[in-house]
Amino acid sequence: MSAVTVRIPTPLRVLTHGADEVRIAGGTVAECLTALGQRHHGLGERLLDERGELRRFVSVFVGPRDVRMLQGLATRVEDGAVLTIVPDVAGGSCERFGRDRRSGRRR
Amino acid sequence: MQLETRSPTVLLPGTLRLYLQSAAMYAYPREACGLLIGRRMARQTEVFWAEEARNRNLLHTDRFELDPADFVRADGHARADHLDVVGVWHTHPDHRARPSPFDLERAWENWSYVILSVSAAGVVELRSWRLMGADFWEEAIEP
Repeated sequence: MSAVTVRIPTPLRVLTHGADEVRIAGGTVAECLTALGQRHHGLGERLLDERGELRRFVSVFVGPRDVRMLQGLATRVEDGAVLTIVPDVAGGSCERFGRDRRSGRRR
Repeated sequence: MQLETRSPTVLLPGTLRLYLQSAAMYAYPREACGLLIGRRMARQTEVFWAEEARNRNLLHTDRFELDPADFVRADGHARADHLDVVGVWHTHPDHRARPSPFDLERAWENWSYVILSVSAAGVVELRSWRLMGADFWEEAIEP
């Protein structure tokens, strides 16, 4: 087990009672996120889906590296590691997207 | 989209607006995007600086996907100064500065969303929005 720091983005702090980071113990990213979810009710569901996979609109970085570019949730974490939870940030004027939604099609 | 009687406020200094306008015009006709760094209070968000981020969506000029590595970098800068990522800014080339259905679908609560409408002639308008519940509410912008 390693002692790691998990950085919480502003939109998810309602689930950590306002804490901007949480100290947690775990040997892999999966163990850290599971422990985080057990400590802060509702947070686990925002990060992991029913199969225990990372949700589509969330990324997790270990230091400067995206775990999806490493070993995913099985990525091992060392003592003192910093995990950053990254909310997917996207949008745009998307005129065509609006038209597709109204016609019932999604792109 | 609605405008509350006592709408939340975002404090955006004039120099910062000029920076965003410049970035919007430089990226035109593509969408530019980035993050707002500052301090968030109950009904007021104070923005100290903005960071531009890479738009990973190279297929469409009418949308953006902010590079998550740039989020981590900006978040680190903010935390080093005991501040937070308090919002997102992006441009709507040749469209109004109002959230689109795609903006709404991908928005997170507790952030300010500054949108700049930009045309070939320059920035047309700059407005700020906040997701509260299922809809965006407009924020008043003050220097």
